[in-house]
Amino acid sequence: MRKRLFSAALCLLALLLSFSSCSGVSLHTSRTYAMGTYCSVTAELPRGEDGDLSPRLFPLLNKTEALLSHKIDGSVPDLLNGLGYAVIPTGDRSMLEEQLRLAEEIKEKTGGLFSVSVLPITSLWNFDAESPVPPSPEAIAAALAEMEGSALRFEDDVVHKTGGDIDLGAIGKGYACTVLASALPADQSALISVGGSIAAVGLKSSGERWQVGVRDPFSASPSATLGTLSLTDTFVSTSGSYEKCFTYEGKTYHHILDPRTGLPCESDLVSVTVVAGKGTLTDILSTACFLVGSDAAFSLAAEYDACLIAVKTDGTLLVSASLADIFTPDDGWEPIYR
Amino acid sequence: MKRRWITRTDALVLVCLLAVILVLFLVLRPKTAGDSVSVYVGNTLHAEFSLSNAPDSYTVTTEKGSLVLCFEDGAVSAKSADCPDGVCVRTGSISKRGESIVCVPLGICVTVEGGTLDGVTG
Repeated sequence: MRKRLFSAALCLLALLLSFSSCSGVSLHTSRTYAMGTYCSVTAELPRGEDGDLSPRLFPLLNKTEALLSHKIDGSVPDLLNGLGYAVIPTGDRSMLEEQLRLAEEIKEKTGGLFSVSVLPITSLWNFDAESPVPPSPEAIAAALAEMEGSALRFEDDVVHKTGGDIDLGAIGKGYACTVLASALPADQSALISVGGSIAAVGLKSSGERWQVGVRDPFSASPSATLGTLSLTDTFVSTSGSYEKCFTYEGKTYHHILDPRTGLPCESDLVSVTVVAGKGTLTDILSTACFLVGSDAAFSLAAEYDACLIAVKTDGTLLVSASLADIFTPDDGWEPIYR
Repeated sequence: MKRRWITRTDALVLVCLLAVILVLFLVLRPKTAGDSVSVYVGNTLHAEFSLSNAPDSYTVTTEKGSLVLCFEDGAVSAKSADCPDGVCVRTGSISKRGESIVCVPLGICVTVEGGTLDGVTG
């Protein structure tokens, strides 16, 4: 009798142990402020392991900023703007050169609407200022004159610049997502977010995909969404006129500038989300697609095998047909698939 | 005496162990980081914040007094409150889905909610 009692207790203890081991993974999110924005890494880590990924990943954000920000001495745009040329550091060469070549290619395809040679107008508008004011037409005209004939030229490992100074603000977050995603340990799944640009790597251990909300551009709340994307091994970026905007004398100015007029772009879109296999593609395309407007955006994205979720100023939600399986709209949103 | 399959003592021990398992499971189950914070006064939703993009601090004002919430590093805590016991302040900071700060004297409950999203683009 005593023996039986003992074995029953033993069985239950075994059960208890198996219980705690099957709940041995948990989602852990580390957050930081870098590159002028909020960044986070969410990953499933074995219980008890101190394996926070942030010491491994977060320093790369500062490294990427030091490479791409025109405000930092010795960065590639800083050298281009100061000297007219820059030698791309060896470790970053292939990826950054590919990114800059892509920027020039998209500039050509959009008839100059997308450009990285826009520092003269972006610094004039200075959307990061505490209380920005719209610049005078004369100042804009002078900035546009500086930007005339802008181009990047590649010669071996050297990039040369003509025309307007370089601002890589439109590519930095997607670039950083790519850098972080490729620095993950082998077979480590994670969801990386750099200011709303996202890398969804692998699957959760339950086999589920990462659930990524797409922000509702008409809501003041950054957590309000219009739908959810179910993702694995995919990158996502969004450009919206709700971000970095200011109101001056009753008129609202948003930060996505048309380099032909030097003014906020009068697109028929309020936000564009780009879904693609490469982070170096999504960030640049989200800005470019916003600039070209809803009609041209879908054909531009298709050239790069990218998919779109676009919201027009009238509230119409346009979604690439190939996203139908992984996109779930929230109540009240009726997507038109195309 | 006829041997019974399970005696009364056996049953008692089993029930006790099951209860212990249940409690341990509830305490040890993995918590997931939430992404939004809901502030309830009584049963009404008073305010909502995104944990990744919240103000530095926020004051919840009720008829009985006010409570100052402090947002830091993706977590929220009660910094000070007009309540006699200070339980809410001693709760410390919360950031996981399902965790909450409760101030009974003021009737305030602050809960981290995650929904089903792992992230948001935009």
